[in-house]
Amino acid sequence: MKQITQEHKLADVLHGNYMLIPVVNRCGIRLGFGEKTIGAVCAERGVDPEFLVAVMNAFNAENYSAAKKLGPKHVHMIVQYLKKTHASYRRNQIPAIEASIEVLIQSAVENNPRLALVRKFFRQYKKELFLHLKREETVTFPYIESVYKGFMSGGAGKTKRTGRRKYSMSVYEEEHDNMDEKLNDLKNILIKYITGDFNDTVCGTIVFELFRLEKDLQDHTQIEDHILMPLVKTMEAELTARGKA
Amino acid sequence: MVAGKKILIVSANQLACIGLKTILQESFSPGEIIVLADLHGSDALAEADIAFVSSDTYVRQQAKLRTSKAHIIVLTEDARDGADTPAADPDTLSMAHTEQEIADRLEALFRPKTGRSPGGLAETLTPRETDVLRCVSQGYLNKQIADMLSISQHTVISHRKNITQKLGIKTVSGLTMYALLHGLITSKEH
Ligand SMILES: [Fe+2]
Ligand SMILES: [Fe+2]
Repeated sequence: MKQITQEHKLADVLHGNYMLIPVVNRCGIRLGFGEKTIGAVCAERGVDPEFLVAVMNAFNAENYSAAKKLGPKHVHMIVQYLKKTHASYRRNQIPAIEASIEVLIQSAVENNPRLALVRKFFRQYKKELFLHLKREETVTFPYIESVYKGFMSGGAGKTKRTGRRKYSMSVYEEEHDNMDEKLNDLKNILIKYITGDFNDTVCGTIVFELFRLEKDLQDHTQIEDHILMPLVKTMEAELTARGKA
Repeated sequence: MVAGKKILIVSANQLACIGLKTILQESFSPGEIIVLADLHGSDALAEADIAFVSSDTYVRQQAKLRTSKAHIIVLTEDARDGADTPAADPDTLSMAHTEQEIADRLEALFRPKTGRSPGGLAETLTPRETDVLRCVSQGYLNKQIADMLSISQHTVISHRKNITQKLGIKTVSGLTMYALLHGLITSKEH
């Protein structure tokens, strides 16, 4: 697909790739915007159009160089966007898949131990994912917000006073694991090895939802690793430089 | 599955019979549906492909039903469909449900039972790879596996690579699930 620009009609862009609907929602734009262009919808809803266009292009092309235009002033927005995404995993996507797994188990004519394994696997995955999200929300994002504030206020942050701080982007880089590999394994197992007498439509829906969640998580991780991390790293360096001057 | 098949419904509860007949006709386009209050003095059972019988009938006419080629489904008032019934027991259909629930249950009962079978294991993994997979799913580390199987760590790693490539499963949790599904380990071992 060609590059999306602010002059495109938002509706056309979503017709071209419906996977962008949650992206638009998480930026605070609801459907029902008529014939308006991206620029016009953003102006109306107070969304930075550069940010939305960059994220949509990155998702579309699966190429995050499109997001290079984003600078320090976008950091707060990126974090807000990531938090909204976390909330949607927690409140919608994960519970929906969990519920479908229960429906699948109910649909089995007889007790099927394979389905019980699917449930167990997904519960374990959910636990790990929620820990990952919580760690980012309680440690990573607050740290990034403080760097952002320090950077924007023109000060040197706390770097000067405390010298080396405990948490930094390099710690995040090291501890940040991707959460989509296990999902990939689960859907692979469902496709290849889960047999028995159960509702095939429900099973198909679960696999479909796993594909969708996996793609969503990959994009989410890409933003964290390839947009947010490098951006905040340059800000950290700048703050350190300011502290020395 | 059901289309065109001969269905017999045997129950003294005429309203239940009519209701079931309606659901069957609306959702499954069967062939002929015969409704009887009692199985006595009728040879309809010999012709039937599927027979719904009240639990009374089932108890009284078990011998006759057992030798029938028809798929026997016992009508119950118990809200728990087929709950905890041992495999030898007949299929059951609870009438104490909504129309939609009954239709769903019927669909499950009519589904072909031999549609999907587990993918073979032997043709995908070598015996050595299976050994390594078993150890990985029991939580052992490469070093420990190398000692246990008397091979080098390097060999363990290369086996693991092959396993992942063959199965398309990367994580230890995924491999463990695979091992459980294929009976390589039991749930107590991991
Ligand atoms: Fe995140
Ligand atoms: Fe993350």
